[in-house]
Amino acid sequence: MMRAVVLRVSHMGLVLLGIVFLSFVMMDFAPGDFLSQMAMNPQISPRVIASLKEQYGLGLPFFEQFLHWARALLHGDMGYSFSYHVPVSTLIGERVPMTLLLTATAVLISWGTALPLAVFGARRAGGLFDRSLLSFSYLSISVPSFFLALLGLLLAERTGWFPIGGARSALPATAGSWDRIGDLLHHLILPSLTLALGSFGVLYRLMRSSVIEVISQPFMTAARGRGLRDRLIFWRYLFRNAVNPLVTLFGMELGGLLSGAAFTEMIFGWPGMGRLMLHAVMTRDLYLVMGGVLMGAILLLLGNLLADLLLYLLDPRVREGT
Amino acid sequence: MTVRLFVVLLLLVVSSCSRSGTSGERVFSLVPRSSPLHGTLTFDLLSDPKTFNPALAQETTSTQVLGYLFRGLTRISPYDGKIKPDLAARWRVDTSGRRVTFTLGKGLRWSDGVPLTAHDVVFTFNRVYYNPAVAAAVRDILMVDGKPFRVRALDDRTVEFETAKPFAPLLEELGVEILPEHLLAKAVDSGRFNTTWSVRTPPQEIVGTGPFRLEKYVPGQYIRFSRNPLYSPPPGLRGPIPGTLPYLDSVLLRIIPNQNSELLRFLAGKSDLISVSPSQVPVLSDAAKARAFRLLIRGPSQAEIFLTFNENPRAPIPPYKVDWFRNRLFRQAIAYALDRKAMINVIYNGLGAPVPGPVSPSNKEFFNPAVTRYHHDPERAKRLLREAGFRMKGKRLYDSHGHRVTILLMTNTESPERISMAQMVQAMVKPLGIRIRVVPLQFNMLSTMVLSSHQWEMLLFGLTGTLDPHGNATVWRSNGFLHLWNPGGKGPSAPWEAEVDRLFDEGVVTLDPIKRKKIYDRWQEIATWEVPMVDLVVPDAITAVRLTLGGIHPTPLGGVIPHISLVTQVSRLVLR
Repeated sequence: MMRAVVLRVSHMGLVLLGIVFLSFVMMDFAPGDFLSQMAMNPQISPRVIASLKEQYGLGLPFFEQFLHWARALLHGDMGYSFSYHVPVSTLIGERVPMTLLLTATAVLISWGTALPLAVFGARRAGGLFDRSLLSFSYLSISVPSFFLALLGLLLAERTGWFPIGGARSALPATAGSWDRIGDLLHHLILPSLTLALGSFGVLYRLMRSSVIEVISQPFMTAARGRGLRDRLIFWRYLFRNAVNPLVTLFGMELGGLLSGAAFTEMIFGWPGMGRLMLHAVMTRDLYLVMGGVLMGAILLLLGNLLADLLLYLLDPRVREGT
Repeated sequence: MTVRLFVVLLLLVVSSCSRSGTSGERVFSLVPRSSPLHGTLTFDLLSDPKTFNPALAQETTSTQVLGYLFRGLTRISPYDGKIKPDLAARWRVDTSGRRVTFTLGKGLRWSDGVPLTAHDVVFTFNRVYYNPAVAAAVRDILMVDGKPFRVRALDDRTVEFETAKPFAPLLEELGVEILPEHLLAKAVDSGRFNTTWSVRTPPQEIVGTGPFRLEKYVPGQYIRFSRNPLYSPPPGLRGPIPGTLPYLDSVLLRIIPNQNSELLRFLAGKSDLISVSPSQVPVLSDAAKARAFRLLIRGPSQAEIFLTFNENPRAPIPPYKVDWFRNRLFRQAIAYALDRKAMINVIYNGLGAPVPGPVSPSNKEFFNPAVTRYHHDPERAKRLLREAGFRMKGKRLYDSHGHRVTILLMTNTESPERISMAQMVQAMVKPLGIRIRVVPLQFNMLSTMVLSSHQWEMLLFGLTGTLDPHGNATVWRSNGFLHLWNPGGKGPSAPWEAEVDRLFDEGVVTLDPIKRKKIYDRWQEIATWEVPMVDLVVPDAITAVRLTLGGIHPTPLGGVIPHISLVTQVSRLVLR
């Protein structure tokens, strides 16, 4: 077990190196750079652009640029953002917690509702409750998230129950920390519900079919025939087997925590990574893009590792295989 | 895509509500405040400022934000483009026209209390803007023939600018922000200036001379400004009511990265101002009464959209195509073939104006109304093409050597309106037998093809202009670095190009305003007759303004706020 984990982590290092190198190559292949926007400005001469290029180190050959960046990274320095004139780590540092707050809340809501409802629905499969939730999940899968987000905003404007976008009100300096937390939660409701609603459908359908499959297995009949307590049957036999296919999905969700909310963030004006990255990619803010890619890749790899470990704990077949 | 979908959706909802009466509709009414002073102005920005350092600011959000905090020696009147005093109370130009002496206003202080002197001005130019180690993109406009101005302090309140040649746009360019020496000298000395006054700097450390001080900035959320008690308004700026300037106590800018949310927030009364695109006007004019705002249409905006042709003989495109493009009759034929009214109706909902030439009609100081105007005249376009030796065979046009006239028209993908305009051009020249294929390219790709590989045929694009026509020199002079249609600095390729070169050389050293206007009038005549750039249409600039605000006047050049310190909140909104 430990050996497998160590091996995986060292593989992850290689994969990470591959990801950042390829991203760097792609950024280099795309035409233009951060300063290209200025090339069509009649007020900025090519001479000034050339001197800026030198200051930003954008004139260096590709490998030199990459090695320079990678060496600094090993010392914990992610580089400098051309457009914000501050270190990349500060920018990412203030955006990551906001995105994680949003996406983690959404994951909590969607998993927390979809799994129990799916178990309940699957036990009376085909009943009114199950059928209405099934059609609801079709809706949830097919309506794009940006559209839901826009509807959410419209709801906020119509009713006045929720703030229209943003993550914080401009509270007076005298406001206490409870006021601030309450204000943040109030802003969190709509965007996190939007995100949760989007993934509810997939989760419900997957978990439901999984439960139905397990219920009809012979070992369930056997367990029931032996007169085991319902609670024991549920947790040890039904849930544990049914949740198995969803664990992999959970790993992917962890990977998407940083990048999966970009649309929703844009529309609700949530100050997270999505907004920062979109702007960085559009302006070709090289090191900021690389910082974002790096964070996303790390989270994806960690998510997969965690999912595999969970599977290892949950499923004896996986355990015996190693 | 999402924007359009949503506008349609919103239109449905809003119009259905207004038709079905007031059920559920929120209606605002106004209650007068006891005094119009001490209010707060609120509006939304689409993105974060990128820096609080005026010397490094490059994009519009940063410069807009910094406009509240910093001032220059001069400012531009938003009504007519005339130069007005700001930090400088007055100035004198000597007889050679090369030396301008500015006298600073009395009792000017930085917002931390330190007096502002001529030495700050000298520092700002000599140590910051002209410092090669500073990433200042404005350096170019502060030079004459590649040489910096000589800036000297004569005493604490007098500073002298000397230029190598008389430089007519000098006063306009000296609107650039003046920086405090006592706070920034150290950063310049230690080479850290490019990271100084970033968006992470504590707000109290940003010190300026503007009407407001930075109070708080929460990245991605909001920026709050509070009044600068040490502000001394520019000479001649007086408001209609007694009270010290600025009238407002604070300005709150929320950062809302999405135009739909911005619009909804405005409708819900969360912001006081919003800039409106022509396609939103029908929706908004229905809601104006209930939501207590008015729409101010300020006339044609300053934006510029044009078609241009690759006239470069060294370009890697078929030489016979370059021959078409170098033919004035061909260019004029294209100009006559375009139905600008239809473009305005389709793309701007009827709220726009054709642009007659390289100077916008809203630039009253320099616009020449007596230029060649290209009205929609397809017959004339056909005549011009025949005169130029082109022949129609069936529905196709061929040149005198038998080449079919097909053209690639490039534009950038980031702007949907440019793409639809290009498609309209395509449809409008089809009756002439010309086949255009529209190729939308990503901006960086496009600029590489146009500026480096010269591999393009026709281009639909826009450039940011300046008020002073000399700002066009980089595009119109044959050796300018953005002389798009024939770059390379090989000198004028036609007698008219030589004349344009001469006019720009003369215009920049002529200080007499009447003579100067004549020079640029002649340039506009040549430009519209030779049409190397065919100007198209621009949308009207429209702002929706809450009825609670005072000090609002639509101006052709400066939006609806002639001066931020004169804005007041006369009343407040109440939900009825």
